[in-house]
Amino acid sequence: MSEVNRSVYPAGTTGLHGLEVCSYRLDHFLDDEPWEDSIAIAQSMSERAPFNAIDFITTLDGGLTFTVQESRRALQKIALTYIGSGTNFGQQNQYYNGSVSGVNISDTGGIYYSYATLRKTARTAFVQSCQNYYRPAQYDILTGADLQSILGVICVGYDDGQTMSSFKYYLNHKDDPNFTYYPSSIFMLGLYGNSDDSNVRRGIAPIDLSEVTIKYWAYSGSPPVHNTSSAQCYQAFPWAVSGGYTCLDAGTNMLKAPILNPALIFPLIGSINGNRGYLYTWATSPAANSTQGTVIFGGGNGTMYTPYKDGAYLKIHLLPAAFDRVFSTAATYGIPFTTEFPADAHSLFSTEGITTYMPIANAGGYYDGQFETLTIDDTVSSELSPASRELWEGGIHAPYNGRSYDPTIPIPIDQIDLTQPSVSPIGSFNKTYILNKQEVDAIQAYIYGADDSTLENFLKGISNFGANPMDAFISLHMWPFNVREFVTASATAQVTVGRTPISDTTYGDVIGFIMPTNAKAVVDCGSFRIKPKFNSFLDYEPYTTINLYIPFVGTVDLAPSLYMNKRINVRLICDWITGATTAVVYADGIPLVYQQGVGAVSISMTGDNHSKTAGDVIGGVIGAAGSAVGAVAAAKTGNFGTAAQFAGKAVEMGSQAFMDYGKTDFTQAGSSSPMCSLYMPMYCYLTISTPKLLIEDEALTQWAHGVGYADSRVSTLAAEGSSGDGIVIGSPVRISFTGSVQPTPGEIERIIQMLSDGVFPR
Amino acid sequence: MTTIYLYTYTGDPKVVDKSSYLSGTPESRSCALTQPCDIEQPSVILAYSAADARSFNYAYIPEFGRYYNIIGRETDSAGQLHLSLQSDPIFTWAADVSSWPLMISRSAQPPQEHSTYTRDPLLPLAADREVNTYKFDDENNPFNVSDLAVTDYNFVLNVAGRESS
Repeated sequence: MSEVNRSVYPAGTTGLHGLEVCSYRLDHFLDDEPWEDSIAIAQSMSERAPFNAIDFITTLDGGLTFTVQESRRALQKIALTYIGSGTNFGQQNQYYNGSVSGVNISDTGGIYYSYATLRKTARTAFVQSCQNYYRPAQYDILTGADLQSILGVICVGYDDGQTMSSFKYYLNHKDDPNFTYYPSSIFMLGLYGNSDDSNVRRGIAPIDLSEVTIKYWAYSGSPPVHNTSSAQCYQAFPWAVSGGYTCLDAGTNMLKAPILNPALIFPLIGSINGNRGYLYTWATSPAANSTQGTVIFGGGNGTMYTPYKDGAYLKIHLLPAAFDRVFSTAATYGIPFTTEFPADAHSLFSTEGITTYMPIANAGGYYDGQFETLTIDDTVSSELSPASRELWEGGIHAPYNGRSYDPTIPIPIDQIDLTQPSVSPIGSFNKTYILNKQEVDAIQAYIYGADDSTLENFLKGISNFGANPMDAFISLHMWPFNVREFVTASATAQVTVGRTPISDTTYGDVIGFIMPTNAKAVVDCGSFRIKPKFNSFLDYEPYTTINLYIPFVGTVDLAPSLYMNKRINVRLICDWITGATTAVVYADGIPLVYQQGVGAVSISMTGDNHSKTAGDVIGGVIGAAGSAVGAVAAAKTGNFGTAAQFAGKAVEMGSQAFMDYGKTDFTQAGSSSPMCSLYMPMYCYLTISTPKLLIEDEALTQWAHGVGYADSRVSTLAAEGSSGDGIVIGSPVRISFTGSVQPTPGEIERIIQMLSDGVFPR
Repeated sequence: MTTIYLYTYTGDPKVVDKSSYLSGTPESRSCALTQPCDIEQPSVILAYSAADARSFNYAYIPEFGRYYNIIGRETDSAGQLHLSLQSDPIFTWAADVSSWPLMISRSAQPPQEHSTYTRDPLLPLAADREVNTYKFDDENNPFNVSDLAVTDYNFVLNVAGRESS
C-alpha cells in the first residue's frame, strides 16, 4: 500500500536533505497517484510560496532553484518553521515543540506583512494574528484544522531522525477528530547537524511510513571523516558539485569546499554547526581554517558563495563589513536569519535577546532584499516598520532614486489575478435567488397550478411590471455546478416576484438564497501541468499539439511553446444573470486565452412547449421531479387555463436560449449549446498529440551515424571525432593551412565541399 | 624519376583521417610524370605489374606532398601502367581541417542542451502520432450535474422587484 523511496543515504551522515511528504486525504492515498503528480502539486505549491520555484524536477535530477523575489511576488502563505527537537516532541511524539517563525504574505486589503514570532510566549498572539488576516500560517502543534489552509511547510530545522517521523505522526493521526483535511502536499526542507550527535547518525532511518508516500533525496553522503574520496563526494553530491573535490563536512570540519555546480542556486545564508539545525552567520571575522561563516553549499574558510542578481554568484568574505550585503541577499529570498549564537541550540528564534532579521515584502509583494531587525520583544506582527519603510522608500538601500530596482528595466509579471469589480449588476433593479431543484419545482408548480385567487394575487403583486405578467420573470438558469459554493451566499428569503411571495400549496413557501450583490463569479475548474515528452524540439510546434476541452466552452488549441512545462489552469467567469461565460486559460498564473461560451442552461418559464422543455430539462436531465412531470402532464391534458393566461401575451423569456437548443453556438470553439453540453464531459481535459519516431534506440543511433542530428553549434572535427566516428556536416568558420605544402584554390573548394556534404572524422 | 607510394584504401571516401584504413606498408615505385603535370590531377607512368594494377587505389607522391585517389588505371603494349590521380586534400591537410572551427549543422553526436531544440526535418517520424488525453485533477472539478444532490444549488432565478426590506 505504501511506498517509501529513498535515495542513497548512508547512515551516520550529515548534510541537508529535503523531504516531500505527499500527504493523503482520508480514504484516498497518494500512493495511488503518479509520483509526477505529487511533484507537480508540490511544485505548484512552491511556486506560490515566498520561497519560489523549488523545482522538484530539477532537484531530483540535480539542482535546487530558488527564485529571487524581485521578479516573483509572494502571494500565498507558507510557513517557514523551525522544527525543534524538544523532548516532548522528539521523544514522546506528542508535541511539535519547535519554535515557530512564520513568513506570511498576503495582498489582502493591500497590506503586506512580515511576521515573526520569536518565542513561545508570543506564539499565541502570532497565530491569532495570522488567523485574523490570512488564516493560520504554522502552529507549534499541527492539527488538521491548521493544515487545512496551509499550502505547504518549509521546515528548516534540526532533524534527529525522529522529528520527521514525528511530523509524520501528525499526518497519520487520522483519529484526531480535527484532522479531516490535509494539504495537497507538504514540502519539508530539513537541515540536520553534524555527526557528533548520535541522533543524527540515525538519520532518517527511524521513519517507517506505513501510510504515507515519502520520497526524498539526500544532500548528504558526506561522512564524518575528512578523507572522503572525490568519487564518493561526487557520487553523493552529483547535483551540488561539479567535480571531484573533497567533500564538505557540514559540521566543524569544512576543510575543503566542493566546486559549486553552476546550475545550483541555493540561497542558504549561514552555516549549520554542531547539532544546530538552523542557519546562522557569525558576527565576527572567521578565524583561519575555521568554518565560521561558511555556508553549507560552496565556500569555505571564510568565504561563501551565494546567488546574486543576474544569475551571478556572490562570493563573500564574511567580514563584518560584508554583512549588510549578506543580509540583503538573504532577505531577497525571504529567509529569516540571525547572526547570533544562542546557547540553546533549539531556541534560536525564541531566546530572549536574540536578534533576528526578518525579510520584508515591499508594497508590491516582493522580497527585494530589505529586512528588519526584530528582537524577542518585538514579538508578533510588524507591518512594515517605519524604519523599514523608510529604507524602502528611499533609504540608503534604494540606489535607484527611491527604488531598489532599476526602473528602466521592465520587470515581467508572473501573476495576473482576476479581480472582483466594485460594481455589480446583481440586485440593482431586480432580485436574484439561488435555488435548488426542489425550489424550482415549487415555483413551476405555483405558476402552472395557480387557481384564480392565486393568479389574481400574483397579478396584483406584479402590476407595476407591465401588461405581461411574465415580464416579472427575467431569467432562470441552471448552472452545471453548485453556485452557492462560489458565491458564498448565506442569507435566505422567500422568493418574491414583484411584490408577491411565492408559496405553493404543496411545497409551501419557496425559500432561496439571496445572491449577494458582491457575488464572486469566478469558478476554478482545476489545473494540469504539461510536461515535455522528448525534451527536444519535438515537444513544440508543429510536432506537438495540445488541445484543451473546457465544458460549456468547447475546445481550444494551446500553443505548446506557451504552455509546455507550465501549469494550465482554467477558470470560468460567470455572468450569473445571463449565463454568459468566459473561460480563462492560465499558464503559470498568466491568463493567455479567453474563450467565450454559455455556461448555464436557460430555462424558459412560459408557454406550453417551453414549460414542457423546462420540465424536461429539470426532470429529465437532472432527475425527474414528480411535480414537474405533473405540471407537464397537467398542461398536456388541458388543465392549464391560468397558465395559458400567463402566456396569452407571452414574451418568451429565455426564448433565445431555447432557439439555441440543438444548434451550435460556438463554431470557433467547437462546442454546441449549453443544453447539449450537459451531455458532454463535465471536466476539463487535454489531448496532447505527439510525434512518433520511426526508429529508436540502436536503430536511431545507426541512423544518426550516417545522417546526423540537426545541430547548431561551433566545434571542430577533432572534438567531434573524439566522441565517435559518425558523420559531421558543417562549414568552416575560418580556414588556415600551417604546413609548407599549400593547397590550390581548387583543393580548398573541394575540402569545403566535402565538409558541406558530410565527412566522417575518422 | 619520381617516387610514388601506393596504398590499398579500404575506408569510406568521406573519411577525413584515412590512416586507419590504409594498407600498412606502402609499396614504393619509381614513376615518370606526364608533361606537363598538374599536381592536383597528375598522371604517372610506371612499370606494369598485374598486382599493382589490381590492388592499389590510393597513392602518395612525396615530391608534391599530397595524397591521391587513383581514379584511372591504364596499361599499354609497352608494359607500362598509366595511373590517373586526383589529390585528396582533406586527408593531405587533415590536421589543419580537424582543428578548424566548424559551424556544424548536423552531427552524429547526440545534441546537447540547446541543440536539442534545433528542428530536424530529417528525423524519421512516423505518419501516425501518439495521442494521449489527460483529465484535470478531480479534486477541483466543480461540475456536478452528473450527480446532482438536493443540497446542490445550481439554479439562479432573476425576477423583477426588490426586496421589500
